[in-house]
Amino acid sequence: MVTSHICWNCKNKVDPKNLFCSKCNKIQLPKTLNEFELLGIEEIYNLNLEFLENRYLKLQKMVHPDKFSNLSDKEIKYSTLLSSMINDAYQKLENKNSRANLILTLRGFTKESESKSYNDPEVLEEIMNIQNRCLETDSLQSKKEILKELDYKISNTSKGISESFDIEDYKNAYKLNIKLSYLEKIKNNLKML
Amino acid sequence: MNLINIKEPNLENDSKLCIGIDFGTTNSVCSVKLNDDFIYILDKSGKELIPTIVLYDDKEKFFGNDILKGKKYFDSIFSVKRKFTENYDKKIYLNERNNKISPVDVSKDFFIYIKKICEDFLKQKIFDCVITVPAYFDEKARSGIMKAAFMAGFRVRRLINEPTAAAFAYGLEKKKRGIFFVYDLGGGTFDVSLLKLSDGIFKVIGTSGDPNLGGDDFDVLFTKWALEEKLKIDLDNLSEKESLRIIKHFKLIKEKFANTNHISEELNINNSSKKITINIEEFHSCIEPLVEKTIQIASKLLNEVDTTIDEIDGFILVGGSSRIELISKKLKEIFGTQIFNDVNPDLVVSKGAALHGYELLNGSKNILLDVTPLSLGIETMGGLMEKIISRNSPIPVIKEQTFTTYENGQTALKIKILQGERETSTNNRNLGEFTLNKISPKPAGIPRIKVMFSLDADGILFVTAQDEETGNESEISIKTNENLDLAEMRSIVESSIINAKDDIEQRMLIESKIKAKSFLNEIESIKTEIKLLCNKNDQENIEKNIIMLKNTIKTNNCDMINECIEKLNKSTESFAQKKIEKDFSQVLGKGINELS
Ligand SMILES: [Zn+2]
Repeated sequence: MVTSHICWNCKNKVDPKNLFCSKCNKIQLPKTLNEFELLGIEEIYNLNLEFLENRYLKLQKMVHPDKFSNLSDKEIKYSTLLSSMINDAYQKLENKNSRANLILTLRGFTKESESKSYNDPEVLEEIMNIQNRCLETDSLQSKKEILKELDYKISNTSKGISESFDIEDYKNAYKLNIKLSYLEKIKNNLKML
Repeated sequence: MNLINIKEPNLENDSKLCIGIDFGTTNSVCSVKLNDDFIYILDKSGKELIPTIVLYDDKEKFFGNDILKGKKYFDSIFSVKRKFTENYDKKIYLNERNNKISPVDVSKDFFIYIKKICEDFLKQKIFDCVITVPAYFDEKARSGIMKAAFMAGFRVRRLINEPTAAAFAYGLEKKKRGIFFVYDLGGGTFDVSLLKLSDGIFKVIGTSGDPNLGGDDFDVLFTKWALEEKLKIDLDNLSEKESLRIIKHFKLIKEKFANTNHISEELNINNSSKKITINIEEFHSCIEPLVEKTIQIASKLLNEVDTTIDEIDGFILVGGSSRIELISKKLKEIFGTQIFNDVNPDLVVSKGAALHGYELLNGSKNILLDVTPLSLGIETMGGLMEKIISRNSPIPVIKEQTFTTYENGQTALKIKILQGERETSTNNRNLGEFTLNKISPKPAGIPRIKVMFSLDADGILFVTAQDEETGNESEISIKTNENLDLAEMRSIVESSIINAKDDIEQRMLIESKIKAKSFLNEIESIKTEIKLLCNKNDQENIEKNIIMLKNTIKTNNCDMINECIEKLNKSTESFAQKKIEKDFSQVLGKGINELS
């Protein structure tokens, strides 16, 4: 259901995936694109981060307000908005956790369709366990060890999420993603200690 | 070292001029790019470093290098920039006519002065500029700087962060690529920024700092220590003027340690001469805690943005205070990476601003992708801060948040905006409150008000709201408690630049318009109270004068605007009187007439 929109400047029909009018080259403001579409990348969980960053920088180089400073107020406003949207999309896609949430939403999986709280006793125990060890850590050595373990757990969980997406088991992806968010939070807290 | 280009500027150019202004705590620097030339602007005394000092003295005002190092020197206002992280509208100074003025007013006068220097040097009118600010400045401090420059008649094309500007100039000049740490220790502020320099893109990965730690603090610490240790004198016991003089003396001693390991000097304190000898080891161990503090901030940032030291290509040292030898020694010791100090740390920030300004006006080859240094959020019920935009997010950025009512039939909602990293709202900077009005009355929790918080490329906040049901943006009005928002101010400057014949006329017009708009905003916010307290005749009179003032603003006639402000002011006098009476009776429980 790709509906084209009309260029604000020359009234030409513009493909909503294009950020610039093909006729007059003016910047456009597509409101209907999701984060993946905005960055022009495939809607998958396993993203190549380097590729993502390159796409992001290439787009910012086209739409950033620095490029529009000597143009009309309207173009400055549109470029600021578009640049903001791309920044936001990039941040969401760069982070595994929010990326998984995005895909879940796009596939129609909502938190409401699941039980709201997440009570897998085994996982909770695992989280509590590592959390307690973080609180007790006193040496740089033990901090490093826990960080290493956390990284291992994070990568495993992420792998699990990826596999769940492959077989379209969104319920499991959702659960693992909550676990991932806990692990990331613990890791960040530990890093800043 | 940058060689100062002193040749006559090439005036036969068709590029638009944009001044790069490094408004520093201690010194300010202006520079400009003209086609293929880049030049630092020199003041009348031929210097590119303009001390950021203002002296109001006996019906006259003096600035920068014009203030001679005579007796009155220490009556000057020093380090006004430091006030921007506090309440900069508070009138804490006296001007040449003995009127109370605020740090913004002082800075405005200073900006007028440097505008004049630029115009004299370049022999043409100047409006456009890019101003640098400490990366760790919050939104409010940024707005304050912008306001001061606007009131001076500048058209501010962009605010950029000092370390970003430095990296921009450095990267372009030395053709560097890679990940660099900019260590920027100025007179009053400390910033660290981690940047990735690639082709045409200068991307800030993360930034941190302390808006109240700079060379000034090193000077004070050093002076305190030396007086106490060597002369058994407590700095705090000296008069304010005397201690300022002594601190400036120790600042010079500090700078001498760049070339010598031992200093022996006569020092005049309270009219008696004292001999003081200090060696460099003593100096270093005295300032070490502050250097440590900066290094901790840098290490913490590395951790936060998940970068290891091996990925970094080097440190770029910026800011006059980064010349202290101990700093590069410590950085090398702890991070083991290359230190680049092959640019003039006093000048490179202004250069970055000028180069960027040139591109903004004449077509950009490069973009600066910066981040916001502090999280932005709102106060929730329990006095906690809920983050909406987290620190180190790339800007510009826009985030939506949906609000609802908590009482049946509620038609207005007050939202407090905060900036900072602390959990409780009182520990963060209050950016202001705004009210969502004219919400259609519904049961509690039913209205859905979508509020958009956006930080633009200057790091300035804009808030807009929309009732999701009606989709009508104009139905809801937002008023922050700031008198004038920057968009309003920007348009005032624009229209005044086009209409005024000369500088003074232009500035007076800007001032009148700002005053008029602030006054109109103020009256708008108390409109319901006016209706409550004034009789119909007074109300109509006020209303008439409001319309008249609004129309006069458009005429760009300064005298007429002032006249209309006066008229409107007069017509609200009866309201002011009634309000005082009402407030009194609220406090005392009885009317003002019954008091005597
Ligand atoms: Zn077009």
